[in-house]
Amino acid sequence: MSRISQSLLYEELRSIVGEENVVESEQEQVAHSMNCNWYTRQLWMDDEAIPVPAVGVYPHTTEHVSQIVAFAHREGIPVTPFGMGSSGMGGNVPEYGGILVDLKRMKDIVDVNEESLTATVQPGIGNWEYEDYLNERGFTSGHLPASHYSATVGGMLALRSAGRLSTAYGKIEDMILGMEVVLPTGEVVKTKPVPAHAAGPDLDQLFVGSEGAFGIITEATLKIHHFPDERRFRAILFPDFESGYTAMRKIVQKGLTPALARLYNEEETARTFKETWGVEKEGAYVILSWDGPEPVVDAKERSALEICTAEGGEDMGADRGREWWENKYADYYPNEDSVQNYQALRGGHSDGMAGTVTTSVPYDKAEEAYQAMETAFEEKFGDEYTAWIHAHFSHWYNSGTMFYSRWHIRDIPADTDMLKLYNEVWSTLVPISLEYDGVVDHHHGTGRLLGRFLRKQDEGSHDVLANIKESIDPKNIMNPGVMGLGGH
Amino acid sequence: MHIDERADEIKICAYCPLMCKNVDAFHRHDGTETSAPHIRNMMLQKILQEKENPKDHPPETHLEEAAEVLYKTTLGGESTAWCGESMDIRANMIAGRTDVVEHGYAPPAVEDVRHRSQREHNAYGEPHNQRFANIDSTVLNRFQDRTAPSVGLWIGCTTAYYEPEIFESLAAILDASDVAAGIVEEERCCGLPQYKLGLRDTALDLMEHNANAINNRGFETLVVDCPECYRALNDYYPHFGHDISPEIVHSSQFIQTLLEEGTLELNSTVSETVSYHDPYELSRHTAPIDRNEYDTSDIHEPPREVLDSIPGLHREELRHNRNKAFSCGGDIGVRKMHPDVAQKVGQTVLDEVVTAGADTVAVASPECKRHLSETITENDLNLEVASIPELVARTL
Repeated sequence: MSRISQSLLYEELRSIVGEENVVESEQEQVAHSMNCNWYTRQLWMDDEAIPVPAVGVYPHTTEHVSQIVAFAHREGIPVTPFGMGSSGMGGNVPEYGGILVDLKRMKDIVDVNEESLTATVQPGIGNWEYEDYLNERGFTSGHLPASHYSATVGGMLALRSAGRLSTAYGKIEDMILGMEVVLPTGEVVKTKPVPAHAAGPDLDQLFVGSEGAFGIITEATLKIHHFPDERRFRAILFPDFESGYTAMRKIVQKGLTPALARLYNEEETARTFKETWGVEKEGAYVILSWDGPEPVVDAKERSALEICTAEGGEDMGADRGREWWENKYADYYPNEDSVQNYQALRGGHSDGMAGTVTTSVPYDKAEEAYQAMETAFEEKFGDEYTAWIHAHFSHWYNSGTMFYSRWHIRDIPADTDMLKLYNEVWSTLVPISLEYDGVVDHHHGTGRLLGRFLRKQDEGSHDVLANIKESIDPKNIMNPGVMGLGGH
Repeated sequence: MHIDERADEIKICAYCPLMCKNVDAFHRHDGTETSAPHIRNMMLQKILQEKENPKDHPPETHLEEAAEVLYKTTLGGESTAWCGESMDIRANMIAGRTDVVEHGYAPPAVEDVRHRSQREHNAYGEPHNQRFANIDSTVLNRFQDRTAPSVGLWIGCTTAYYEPEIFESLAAILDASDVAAGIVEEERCCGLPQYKLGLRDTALDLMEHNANAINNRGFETLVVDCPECYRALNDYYPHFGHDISPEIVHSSQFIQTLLEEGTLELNSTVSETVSYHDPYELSRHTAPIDRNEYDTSDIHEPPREVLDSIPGLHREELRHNRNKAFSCGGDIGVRKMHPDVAQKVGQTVLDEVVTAGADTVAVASPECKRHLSETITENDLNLEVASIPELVARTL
């Protein structure tokens, strides 16, 4: 921590952003320690110490952020950027105290260029608010992640987020055109929002996914799209997972670009049919959608259905696909049963925990990787606990796919060290992804939970990241501890 | 209602992955983390958990800490409207506030409302003996003089003290329809503003008084313009054991009936482009206790149908409407404790009005009228706010 006193810290920050934008309350400090990962929340519930910031500050302008960070750099004070706190990996927990920079009061939509189809926004605008604004004017960002109601655009950029329509619109790193970033020393970098260039490396991609370790994103220019004339859905039931997987790969590789493309494994298919429609069905369920002008959608849908039929798929019609879309967030609202998974208490107060591994792998390894993950999980945890894992494949690329493995453990004995068990699950599953040429994570980021695996992901790349970090943040003040880059 | 009675719902909201965070009107404009719905519920969950497993300090310690946080909401119900499980977060907050107040941790602004309500029988603290003083006495006298009318008009505090033209317009509509109505001269604040602030006892006193006063008048129908009063009399009074004899109807419903029956004719033509702003007590009602009753008695169409009956009036729908309407920030608690946020919340509604291309905001609530009018003045906007009765009365 810095040499300066708490009162001087407040005074300095007040002089930058004004008194009303420096929050000193204990409740606010606690709130800023929370996110969608359960750990700090449970520590707090158990009256144990949690990492809290020395102070929370709400800048309104890039100049504010620059001055705050320059001050922190001068004094060697850790800085944690904070959006809406929906990280599931603990990336925004102020582990080393210091200054928490909450960006929610930087939420202007600076410009929408209807000719170039770009939108320039401040980082603190919520994704729902942003998309709602665009929709009202006949546009869409094409980015609709599960955290639609709980994430800022800046936060999604910092974590390389993916939306439900990513197969057509891309992940957020495919949407970024230009950025303004305050570096860890307080200088401001601004890249031009051009569609493409060959003038050196793409600096935007250095900051997208950097989880606040390389600076604070203060403005972003993103691609937008005309809201599609036609959005059409289709549900297909395949006899088994393999046939569904093959059909999806062929559809994407033939350039039939569905926007929504979700394949469920047999367990999830059976559960979905039973719980949603009260029907016993076996097989693997696929939901597809296309966005675009009607003739284009017609043609793509027709060709895709031919592929599905050839692989033994049964057309379940448009309604079941649309129904999924209209209820796409339903699974995320906790109810009396599922709240157990969010309430993974330490010290055995609860009997359940859950988590999600998202990984991307090449097509030739994906099925094998998923099977290996499922087998390892069941072997390691299935005997001792009630444990199950299920998956869907929901982001498709020309060369590979992403699978989303949701694991659950129930009936955990009261004397279990819950944190140890939780970490064991990740230590079991993530290395399997790496073994099959996959990555640590596809769209949630690594934060404080998964950063430890990054060194093993790519040969030599983590050293490059560390060197960049050391070069642009010599005092290691910016969100220290994320991406396995070492603490403050 | 206390937090123990909301334990299951509080727990679910406390562990929600923030699914209503961006839609909460207060949080969107305030930005502090403590105004986020899940954080407010988490604070309550902590208190509940410590009640179950007492440690070395009483759970009241956390009640004191939570006090300020629980008032960082409009109670407008956006969170419930967008929630996939329709969780009644408003009920959680009211329960928490009630516990806060009963343990002596009410914020000063809430204590102030309590004192004003006890002294003057209204949350504003305006003199009770001057309750009807701002209303045109010739109009008022006609209502006071009538014996045993079958229809009553409930005036409400905001109309009585600040927006008397709403009552005067309603009176003109009734006169034009040959409906002889009376008023409840002993009327006091309906009690819902106090109840929502956690001042349960004060609210219950007001409810008991009003229930007796209303029932003594022998009306068959009581026409209520203020949505808070409407909701209180319709739902909260019976819930607390005070059945109201007359049928309670909202003014827009009553006018709609008069138009449908042909007893009210609108003669002159206006030339206005109007957007209707749904007040949350009408548009996404949450019942006092049982969250399963959510959305059972919303009033969405009568105000629109009345407006559409006005010759020459062109209505443009706001982007967020009916049960997904944005609240305007006119809630007394937010206005008193967070006036800057209340203004920003109101500005969002007005932005939608401008985007819709309207020049007038039609409201079905005197509180909305007062708050949006002030926001317009404050921001020097070229917009008008008018209540539905006023817009109708212009055509008589």
